[in-house]
Amino acid sequence: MSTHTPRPEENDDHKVSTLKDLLREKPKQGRPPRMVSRQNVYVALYPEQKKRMTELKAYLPEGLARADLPDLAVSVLTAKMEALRQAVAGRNREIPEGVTDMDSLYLLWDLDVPPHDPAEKWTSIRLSPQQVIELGRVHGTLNAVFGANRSETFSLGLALLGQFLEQHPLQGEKLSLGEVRELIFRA
Amino acid sequence: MGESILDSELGRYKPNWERLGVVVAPFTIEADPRFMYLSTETRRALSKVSYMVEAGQGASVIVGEVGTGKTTLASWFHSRYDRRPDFVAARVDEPPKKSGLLLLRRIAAEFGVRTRRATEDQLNELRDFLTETTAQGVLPLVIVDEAHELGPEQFTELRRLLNFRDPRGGKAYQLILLGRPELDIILRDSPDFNDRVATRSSLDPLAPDDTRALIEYRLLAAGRDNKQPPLFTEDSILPIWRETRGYPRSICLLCLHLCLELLATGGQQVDAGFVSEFLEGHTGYRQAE
Repeated sequence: MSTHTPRPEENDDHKVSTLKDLLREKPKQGRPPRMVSRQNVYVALYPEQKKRMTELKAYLPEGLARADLPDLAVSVLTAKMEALRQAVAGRNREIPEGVTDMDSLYLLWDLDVPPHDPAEKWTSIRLSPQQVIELGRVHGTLNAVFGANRSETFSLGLALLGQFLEQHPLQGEKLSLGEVRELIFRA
Repeated sequence: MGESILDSELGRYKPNWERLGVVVAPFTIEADPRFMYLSTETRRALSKVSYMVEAGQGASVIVGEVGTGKTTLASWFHSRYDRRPDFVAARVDEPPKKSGLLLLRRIAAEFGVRTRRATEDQLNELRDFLTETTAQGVLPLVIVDEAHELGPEQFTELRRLLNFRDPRGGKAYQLILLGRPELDIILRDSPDFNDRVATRSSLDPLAPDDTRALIEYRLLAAGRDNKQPPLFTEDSILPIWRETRGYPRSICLLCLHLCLELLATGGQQVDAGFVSEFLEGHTGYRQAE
């Protein structure tokens, strides 16, 4: 007399058919859909900077994610550079005389000067088309005066974003990307 | 004196700097912007003050102990801004004591403005000059070194000058005050002026790493090839820093004496032993300062 021992899957109440499984509402994976698709931009970042980006996620308002940080970093950088340009308007230089290199910009804006070791790793960030243009514009200016590359330019933006988010904590608020950008340009 | 030559015309000792691989004396205690080593604190002061000057924010203050590089910084600001077509710079090294009028006369003389005997007349002369100059797109800049020697009456006159406006409504001149740390205390007694200070920076003594960088920078600026073995070995830096407490002028003075000793003894490198031996045998080397 054979005794039938049921196979484990026969007892599994959660087991559903293949069709049901396919139709089931699953959490969405991959990049969220956006009105305007973002573009890949390659930059070299230090491991500490990547860690910093993860930390900064906690300062973001509801509805924004880590993937929005690069866009915001470029916006802060653009706003700061524009303020600098306007402050010295009427003079014959866009950058003040005593700002002699990229480190001087960090010192001018009360940021920690970044390390200069080559421990950085290439990575891709995704930027909205407008931010791609803005990053290119600032990179052009900083490259012309200090020979800065795109990674150094973006790193400056990331440091400025960290400072902005620490001085203007937004967590708990419900703001769109556009609203945060507005706040940045008003600050 | 085998390593040096006697300048027959001047009859004075001339060290043979070429033997150290440099073309000019690498260490002097003169304020020379060509040799200005930019430590982090110096760069911070440069960037913040030059931003305030170019943004037309008014007064900036830089404080630092004796020998931290204030006069070098004053020379740097004067040389950089005076050569620009959109600035005209006046430098007051030793401000006259107490009298507001004398200070105004001194500033007027530096700008080539007529000097007057009454304070109000002098202020009017200066106002005409400042407003006319700014109307032409040229911003006057006044740099006052040893500003800790200024008195309350002089701060009042500087404040009155800061009230003059250019045609666009901006301040008609920019001011940089450099002085010892007591300047900050003196400014508290002149609150009207103190409120108009846009930025304050302080020059601190150098850390050991910056001390090494200063020595290397000055040797490089004096023409030494950095492919050569270092003139000052790694272990010589800490005793130099300890002896000088990181004050740039003291570092330069000690390094100057170490280089002269090296030339006199025919040595090749300054190491920790050489520094200790020199300090033991030449306790009075600072008297040359």
